Amino acid sequence: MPEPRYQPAGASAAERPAVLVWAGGRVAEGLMREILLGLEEEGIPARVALAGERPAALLARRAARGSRLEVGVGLGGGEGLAVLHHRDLGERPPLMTAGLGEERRAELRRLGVNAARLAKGDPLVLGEECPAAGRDGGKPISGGRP
Amino acid sequence: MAEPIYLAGVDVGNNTTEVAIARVGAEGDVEVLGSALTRTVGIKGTLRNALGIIDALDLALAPLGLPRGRLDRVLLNEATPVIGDVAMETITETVITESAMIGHNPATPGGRGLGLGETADFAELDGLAAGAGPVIAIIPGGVDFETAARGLNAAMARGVKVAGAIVQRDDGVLIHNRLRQPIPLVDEVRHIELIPRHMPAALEVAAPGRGIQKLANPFDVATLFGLGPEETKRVVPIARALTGLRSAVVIKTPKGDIQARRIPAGSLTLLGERRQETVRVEEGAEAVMAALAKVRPLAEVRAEAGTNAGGMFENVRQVMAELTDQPVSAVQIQDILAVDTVKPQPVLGGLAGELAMGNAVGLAAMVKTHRLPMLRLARKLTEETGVAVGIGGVEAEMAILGALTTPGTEPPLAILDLGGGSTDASLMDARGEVRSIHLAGAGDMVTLLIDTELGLEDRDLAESIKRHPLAKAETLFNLRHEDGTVEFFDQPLDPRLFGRVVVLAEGEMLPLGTSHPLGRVAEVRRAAKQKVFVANALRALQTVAPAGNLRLLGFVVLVGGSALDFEIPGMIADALAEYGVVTGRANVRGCEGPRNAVATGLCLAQGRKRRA
Repeated sequence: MPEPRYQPAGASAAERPAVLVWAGGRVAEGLMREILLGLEEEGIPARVALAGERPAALLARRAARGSRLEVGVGLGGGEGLAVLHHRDLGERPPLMTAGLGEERRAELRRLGVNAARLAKGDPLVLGEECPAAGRDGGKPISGGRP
Repeated sequence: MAEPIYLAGVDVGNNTTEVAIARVGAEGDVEVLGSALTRTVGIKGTLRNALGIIDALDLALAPLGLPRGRLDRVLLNEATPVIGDVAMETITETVITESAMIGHNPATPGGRGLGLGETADFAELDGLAAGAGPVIAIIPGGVDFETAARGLNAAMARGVKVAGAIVQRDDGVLIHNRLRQPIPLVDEVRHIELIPRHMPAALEVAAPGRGIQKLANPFDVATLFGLGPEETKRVVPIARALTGLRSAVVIKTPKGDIQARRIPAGSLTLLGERRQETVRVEEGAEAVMAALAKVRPLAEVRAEAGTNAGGMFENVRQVMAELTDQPVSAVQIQDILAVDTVKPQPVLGGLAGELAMGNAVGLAAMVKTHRLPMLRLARKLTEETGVAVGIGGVEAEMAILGALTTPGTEPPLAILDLGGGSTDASLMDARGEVRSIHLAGAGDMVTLLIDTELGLEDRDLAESIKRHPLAKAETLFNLRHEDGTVEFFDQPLDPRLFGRVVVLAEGEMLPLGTSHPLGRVAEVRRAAKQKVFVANALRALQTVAPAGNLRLLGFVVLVGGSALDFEIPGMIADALAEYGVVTGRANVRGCEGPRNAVATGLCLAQGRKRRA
């Protein structure tokens, strides 16, 4: 299989199912690649589009809306953030956020893995980037039933 | 004409303390005015119980507008002096010598198919000439996926035959996607440095949703490695251990071997009133229970000192001795329940954290002593409350009196109290005589079995699984319950629940960290309840039933906390249906459900006394 394909912005969502990764502003290619590698190892196709500078959460929400897998990742170059969103979350806060930085590579790879797992329905790998997951990973979740 | 008196019946159980408040008229007529339930404070039978009792009394009295001083008497149950304990003994383990096998289920292995070759370090590939091989490359964690893919591609381009690769990191798919010729890759192999180099090896990766075929079949392994009949017999444990996995590696080393070993767990000597039997725990539950049946009624158990079984029984005696202020030697074990189970265990010498199912025996023991120090507790309560506190009656009889207030019942009536440490049954025959039995094995044993078989190593979580139904968080907004119904939510579920099997506990959902599918967890839970509760319910009822005949029972009423379990009453009713017995959960005084039977019974018994 060749390297993951980078497609120009505006590619139709009606194409093959994929997680959409929308990058706004200047995003270091190496950092975005960590996210794509996470998706690849989990066996879920991704499609990248480049957009203008916008908040990462907004890009992620729109990408999720456009994705046939209902999962989108938004990258905000200016903010230095990577955000994972699911279409069902609508206007609610995103599922998880990670900083775009050289020292955050492992976190970004995990965000990619989780984007794939979200699409597959597999349990997520949770660390610090998930605000709802405290350090007490296995402890009871109170009021988890809305 | 005597005035009516006010009294309180108090039942201190292992988990809950229950109270009933009643007015007893001059004619001995009893009117129950109110009730309450609190958590038991401290171990049942200790002075700390007083705190919980006073709480429960105040809770029950408040709505009645009665001050505590208005009570004429408080009656405690004469608690059954029975405690149980449970332990687990592993009796088989799987041992690999010389690292002959890797079989595990990484979530995402790379490629698929079967590869046969000689193991070689990634660093050696450069030195191999055209036509060399076939080799199975070993890629340690220090080599990133791009370097690995480049190296493998270069070697293959030079004409080196590469049949597969074993990868330390979770990089199998990434490497595979960058290869010009696909090969199978097994990744996430933790102890890659222990893999012997330059040995013949076979590597297999199955398609998603399938298990490996060749390496799980001893004859295919024999074909691949050219094994004779004797050697083929020796690979049977390997093939068995690999069955159902998605990827595996088998390496043929000169002395490589894998064995299922039996671990001596010690022996038990069961002393009956007339005869005795000695049985080795590693012979399994059936052998232990058969020996028990031969010596019944059991008077005492002696376990081999210095063994695991010995340690367990020593522990039970210690706890009971402390509780009752008796010497350890005075504590006697009156019943045991052995149950066969399986326990996932790390394979000794495994390279990737492989687990094998070992056999194990779960043991519950029940100890009976002289009275629990309830008199001490009564004296303390009198001091604290200023009300006369006494011992009201034997727990089993009180429970039956209370249970008989369930609409639609009459003697002969049996009650089943499925507790934490023991299973208790009592029968009141048509003449009003009461017979009781206490057996080892109840809720704690079920929890232990669930904990063991699912490999949780978390008693609290196992306890939760026992008590609550399961569901799977299918999306961020919906659960599928174990009966197949789907429930949607307005707000997203916690991301920690996503894709997981969850326990629907009160007011919270607990995600399971294991990869067991929901069906397997539910099956383990139900099987554990069958093996302990249903088996013990039958054992107990047969003991108290007239002539041991369950058909003569008439009514069987479940009391106590476990009668509230969501599936146990149904399981027991199913098991008793064929005997034509009316089985169900008690409804004490037509309003309490299975709770408050003993406390109510204490009040009723007092009425009888006044009448007499």
